Amino acid sequence: MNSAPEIDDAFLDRVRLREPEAVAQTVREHARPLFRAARAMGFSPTEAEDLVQDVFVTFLEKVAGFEGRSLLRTWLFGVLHRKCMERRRAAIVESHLDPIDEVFEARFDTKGSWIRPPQDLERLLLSKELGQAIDGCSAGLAASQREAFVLREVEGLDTPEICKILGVSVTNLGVLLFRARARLRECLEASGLGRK
Amino acid sequence: MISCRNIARLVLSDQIDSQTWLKRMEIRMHLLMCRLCSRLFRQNKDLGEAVKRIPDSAPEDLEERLIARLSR
Repeated sequence: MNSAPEIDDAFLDRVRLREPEAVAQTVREHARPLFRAARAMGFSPTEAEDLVQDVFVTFLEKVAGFEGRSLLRTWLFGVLHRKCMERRRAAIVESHLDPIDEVFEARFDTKGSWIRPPQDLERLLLSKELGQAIDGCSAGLAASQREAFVLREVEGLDTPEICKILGVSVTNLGVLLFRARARLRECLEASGLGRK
Repeated sequence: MISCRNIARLVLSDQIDSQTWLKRMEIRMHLLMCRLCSRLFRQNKDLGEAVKRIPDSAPEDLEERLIARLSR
């Protein structure tokens, strides 16, 4: 998992004084991951950039009372998540029923053995078409599933940090990741790109 | 005996590490013996590695644009 360094008080003081180099360093370290998360939430590149700017503006406004002990990365992702939700006027309500659950169950017999086993996607995972295939397939995921998947796989955050950012329980995060991956797999398998 | 369905569920939801030691041993044994679950397990890791390599759509000068706007 990626570990972000905890920031020290001296650095925070420099940000509080709006020292250009300290502000620039914060932006350089965090802008790109935040942008990727906003894109995962379904916002266009322009909207994502706007949201990321908004996060930094909020950070500069609140930095006076910011607790250096908490991880800056977690805090910034958390602010971004709430801003994305406000714009979407939505909250993470992972429904009890999602069609992907049935699709997944149908791959097994009553004893729980594979009826429709996982296809060999090795070739696709190494191919140039993978980016395009994942882009296409991730469109079928709910925004919260995409966000959880990106925070885990692209940013490499661990379970407690993602739960804190999204405001969900460990169980809920498991459901989000399960549905994201099950759906991606179904779609990648259906694309036929992995077949030899 | 743990079923393939349960293994697949644990793999896709990242719940293997949070299982008890005994359960993790059972899962490991299953993965050693079951070619299909082992494929799912391996590809789940490979998919994670693969998505990291996909270039993001952020403009190259994203950071510099933000810094310029924030310093106004």
